[in-house]
Amino acid sequence: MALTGVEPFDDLDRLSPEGLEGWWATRLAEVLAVAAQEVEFHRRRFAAAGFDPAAFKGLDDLTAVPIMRKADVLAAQRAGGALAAGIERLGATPGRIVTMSSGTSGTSFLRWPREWREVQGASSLRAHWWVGLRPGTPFLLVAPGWHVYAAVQSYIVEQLGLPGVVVSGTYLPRFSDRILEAVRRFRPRFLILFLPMVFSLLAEGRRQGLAAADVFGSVERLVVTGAPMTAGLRDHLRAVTGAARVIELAGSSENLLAAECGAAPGLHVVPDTCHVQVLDPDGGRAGDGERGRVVHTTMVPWGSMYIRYDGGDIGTLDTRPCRCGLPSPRLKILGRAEHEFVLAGRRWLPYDVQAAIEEEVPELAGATFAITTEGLAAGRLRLLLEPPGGGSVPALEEVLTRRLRARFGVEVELRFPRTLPLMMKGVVPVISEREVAR
Amino acid sequence: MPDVAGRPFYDARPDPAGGTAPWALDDLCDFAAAAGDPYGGRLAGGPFDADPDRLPPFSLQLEASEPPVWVGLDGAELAQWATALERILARWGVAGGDTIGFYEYGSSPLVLLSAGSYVPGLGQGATDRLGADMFCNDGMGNMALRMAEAIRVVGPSGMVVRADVAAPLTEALEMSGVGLGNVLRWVAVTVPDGAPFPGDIARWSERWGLPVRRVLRGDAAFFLAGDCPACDLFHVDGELYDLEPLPGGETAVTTRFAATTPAVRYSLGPAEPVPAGCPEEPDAPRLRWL
Repeated sequence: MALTGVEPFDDLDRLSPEGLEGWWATRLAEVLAVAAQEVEFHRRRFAAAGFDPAAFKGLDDLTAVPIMRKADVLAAQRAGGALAAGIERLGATPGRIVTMSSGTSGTSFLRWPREWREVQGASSLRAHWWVGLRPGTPFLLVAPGWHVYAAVQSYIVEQLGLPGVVVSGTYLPRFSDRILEAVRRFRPRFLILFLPMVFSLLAEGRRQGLAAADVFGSVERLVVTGAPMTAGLRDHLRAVTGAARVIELAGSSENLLAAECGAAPGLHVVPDTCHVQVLDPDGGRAGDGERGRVVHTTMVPWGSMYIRYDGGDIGTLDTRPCRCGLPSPRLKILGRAEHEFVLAGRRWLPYDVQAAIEEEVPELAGATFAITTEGLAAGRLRLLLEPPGGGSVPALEEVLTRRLRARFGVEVELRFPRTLPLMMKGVVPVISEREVAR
Repeated sequence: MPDVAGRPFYDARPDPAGGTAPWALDDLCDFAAAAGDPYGGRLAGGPFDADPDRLPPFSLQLEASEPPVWVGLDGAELAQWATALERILARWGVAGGDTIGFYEYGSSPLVLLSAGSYVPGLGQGATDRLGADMFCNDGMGNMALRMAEAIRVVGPSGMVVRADVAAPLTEALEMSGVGLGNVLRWVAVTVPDGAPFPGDIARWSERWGLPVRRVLRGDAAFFLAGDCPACDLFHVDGELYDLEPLPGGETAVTTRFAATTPAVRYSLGPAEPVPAGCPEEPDAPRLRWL
């Protein structure tokens, strides 16, 4: 099959969507068999659910596999102590790393052997290939030595023979001067960053009297991860950075990975990392483009094995063929279920508010905002807004308030705090005003 | 002795005896700023000019440098640097089946050299070679509660911690009800350049209720040493580093394996070489940090 947008990484990318389903079914059968034979956590759960991996014949049989959640992992971790949650398959090669998956619901600890790095690394290389990484550019290792992505990045750098660059400190705004220095010194053509760091680099550039071109001038492909990107935000990032392409890549420590092709909305599921379903409230498969819980299964039978894992994300899956030619469905993660809220009887996500702001008042594309829990409790949309570039928006306040009120059907209030609390992946989108006051 | 001819930094530092004058991190930073060269004139072929073909396989920004200065290495150099860490950890008793926790930035050489998974071209890192596992919690003070949870759940046998997060960690441990002495065999404290003060070490050891070790770092020269539980001095790996006393009570190191950005006569600061003779490691050169 000729690809119009994405150069195939290998023959897996040349399969038809039906061919990929068959490939997935075969691989899933192997993963489930390994889990049942060697991974105590899954053996117990399969037995309790009456699921026999030997009976797995095709993707429709996935419904018989019990869904696991972080709470299940934490409970096993508490019961087993240390790292004996029984979720890991470890190889004989010495040199395992332990990484952490944090969140409001607790920290789980994941173990990754070298065997995992080899298989996952090759799959992640596929994703990076799709988004345009090629030999001949320095590569900033943005998650050195603590995030699971660090192990994958180093593999990719090895395989493509890229010069690897590590900035001191960590990837938080406090270190943006150091990251900026690295980008200016080494002039990467390909740059992958957590979304908030893009804005931090621009702010640091302004502080140093630099134009955006001085910061991002070498960057042809800016890959953004860690937060769902709206169309308006993408346009905004392209405009403020000058990068020819701004590309979204989504992943999680629990072996979820998807990357944008640019030919159609959504991010192609990376097939040898994971299989993904989006489920409706009844547990059935949601239709193309319909919102639901994202449930994914690792395709890598090493390390911490997450099988039918509901990690708390809300998203959509589109199985219709893509013009780029890649066979895998397109996933769009829209936000966290814990951030979902109800206004005027309808469910919304912060993503919807972001899209509404950009569509109604394009000047505010890229604005950082948070929705307050106090406002939601009062049945209204109360936004804490940091305009892009740190400017003020009194002229836009009235029009934004009016248009959002019409769009969401509730009273809208805007407030302008000096700063919003920033985490690695950005501002927490639904927050108590007490948190901001602190 | 690494060849430094044609390296602008060294060309500018002739010694009357015909070699290279000793230098410190400040000298390297000053040279880098004046020359506009991120590698401070230590790369072969003149100042770095953003030509990607001249980039070393691996570049690391020195945390203690201001303005930022970079060092470059290839896989073989990384492997040798990791050997220094491997021998420190082995001296502290790390063995197969252990897990070592790092409450330190993921960009720290201590973390990077520990696990081959994290560094392109390293192969086996220090903990890998010892058959141990590792984790890193990143070195931010606001991650202290997560580190306490990691200690409780993962149960490492040793932990390396940045001095500047020792206080928030202590508070987090108390809040979480985690006693280090119940979990760990030792803690080692590190600073970005040099070694922590002995007085601080004694205080932390008393507070945490277990032995606290010290790491001596000179990242600009790829230098790593750990103190010895038996003699309390820093044992230096003589196969990797040559020590030289300097007038004024300082000690210089020349790093045998550093070829991409050579380290010749780097002053570690106020320290004095001590003759070998520790009962635990009779042949190891030693260093007293003053």
